[in-house]
Amino acid sequence: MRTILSALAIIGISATAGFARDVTHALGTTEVPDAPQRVVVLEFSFVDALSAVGLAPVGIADDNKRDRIQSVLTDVIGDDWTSVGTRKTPSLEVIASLQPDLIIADKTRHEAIYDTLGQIAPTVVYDSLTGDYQDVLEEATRIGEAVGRAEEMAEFQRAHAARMEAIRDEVADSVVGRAAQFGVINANGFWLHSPQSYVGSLLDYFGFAPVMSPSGDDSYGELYQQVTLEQASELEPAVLILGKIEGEHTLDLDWADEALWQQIPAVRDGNVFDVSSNLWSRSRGMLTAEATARDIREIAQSLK
Amino acid sequence: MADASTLQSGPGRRLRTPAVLVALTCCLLVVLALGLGLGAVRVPAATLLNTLLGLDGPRQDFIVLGSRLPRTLLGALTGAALGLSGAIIQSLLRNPLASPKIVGINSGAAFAVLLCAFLLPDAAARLTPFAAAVGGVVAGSVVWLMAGRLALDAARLTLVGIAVGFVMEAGVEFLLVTQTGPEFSAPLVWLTGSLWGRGWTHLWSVAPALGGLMALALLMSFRLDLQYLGPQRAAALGVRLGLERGMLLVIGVLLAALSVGVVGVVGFIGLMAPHIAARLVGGRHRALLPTAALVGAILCAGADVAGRALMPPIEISAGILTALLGAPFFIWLLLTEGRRPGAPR
Repeated sequence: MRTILSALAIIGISATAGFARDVTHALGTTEVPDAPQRVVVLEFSFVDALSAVGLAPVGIADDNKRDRIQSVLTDVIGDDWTSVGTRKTPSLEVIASLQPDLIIADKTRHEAIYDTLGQIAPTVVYDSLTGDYQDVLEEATRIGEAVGRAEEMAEFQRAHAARMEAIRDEVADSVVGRAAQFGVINANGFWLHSPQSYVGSLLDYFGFAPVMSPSGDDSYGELYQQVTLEQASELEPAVLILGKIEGEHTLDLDWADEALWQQIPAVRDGNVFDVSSNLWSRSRGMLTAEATARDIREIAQSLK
Repeated sequence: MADASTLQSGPGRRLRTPAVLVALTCCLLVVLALGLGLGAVRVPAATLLNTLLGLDGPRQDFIVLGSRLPRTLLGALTGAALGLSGAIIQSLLRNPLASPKIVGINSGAAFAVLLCAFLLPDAAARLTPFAAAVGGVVAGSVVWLMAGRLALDAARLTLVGIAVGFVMEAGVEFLLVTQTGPEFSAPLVWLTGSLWGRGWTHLWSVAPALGGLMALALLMSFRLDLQYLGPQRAAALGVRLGLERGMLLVIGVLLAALSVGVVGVVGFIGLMAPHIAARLVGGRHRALLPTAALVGAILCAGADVAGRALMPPIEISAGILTALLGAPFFIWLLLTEGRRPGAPR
């Protein structure tokens, strides 16, 4: 089946009735094969969506760093994929050499090469870079349809919702109403994720209260704000979750002796938690959200 | 300052122009062949020939014909245009350190591209080349109009160009600092000067205009010799200096702005190509311009091939490679230029 489909895609008669469907996406409507087998994805959240229906992509724009694909995903899809380069400028040659029968691209990053991607294989485009947890769920539904596995996706989503709700119920007593803030911190800076960001929406899902005032504007600049120690100390989070890369130096180590840092309620009460910034800030999707949820369960258990 | 005799012969050893042009053409052909043969995916020579000649057997139509061929040709074309533009602007400003950047074209294009992404995020992907070209032309025109209105000499024209460039760069900085959104992700790739994702549509969108302008520039090349003498001497020879200067400046600005529009800011080619050309064939523009165009084509197409083949599947922007090459070149130029009295450039 796989060889027949890819052969059909190559000689360009994949549009034959019975072998293709129309899929509507962010940049139009594309005829895609009924059950694509060789899928290339150009953003992380698409890997998550494909993992949910057990479809392993043949190519991933993984920035040429294979460990950026979370282990909860590689547990499902294995590690047989070919890296097609960075998400910003994926290599068209490598994508073409994989002879895909479907390409899933991001609207913001890949709009300029949409037509070119279409010369390689049927291409569908979704908005992956912005959007919150709810948007991720909706995007997964559409990707399930695009790869012809809508029912499997719906089934996974029901199970996913049940697992998430179980954790939400479990942590409710210790987290509901507590003001929590997530930020990515490294040696160069500290970036807060606002209540409208993806992580912000996840914290909200579990019942944490927001710390930053809502801004209403959904632009990227509003979603992520770089702050200085002074600015950070003005917020009053009861819980502070810091996204770090393991083993790298981070600014909070320098700040540990500063009065401004020590006066932050979360710091004062010992409610600061380190998590993986790759998982928390770079990954979007259902499987990775469950991994995040497990982190939150751990945090809830050690909250003071 | 150069006088007529140095323009004719130039100091030091100069090579014969026809020989240089033939050698550079061969060099360009080699780069073009590498452009077809090298990339993120290894294409065996037999497959390459099958694809190019339309023979039976294994072929790689998209990779060779859909991606590498138009990309490499576009790199050569825009590189030639940038080299020519640089040569014209250096002569007009009579400043060996001048380049398209000096008259504000790069920063004008950058500002327009980011402004477009900021104001019309949904249309930005389609409008980017257009916005870059318009931004470059607007910045170049402001410089030209101010120069004309104030009857500026070359040195002051350069200063005006730098000032206009700074204003545009302030705009770029402002947008980058206040808006760090994903809507800038694609424009920023554009601005680093990359041939990633360029195809036949990009090539055909600029080839006729660039071809026409380059032909015009070559036809007017001997007028640049007169321009280079400076206003007084040229006027003494009966040249309608202002009009020709304006025409040449328009050609130089358009060549660079259209190139930047389609491949982004591939820097330093406009600076390096004319200098390398001058060292090869001397300062006479009839020899200098075609040589600068060939050198520019080799530099730009070569940077693109290198960027594709160095660390696949990562693409290194051609603009980053030309900057790596160009920055030390610029410093070397500053150090050596003063020590070569009488050098035309």
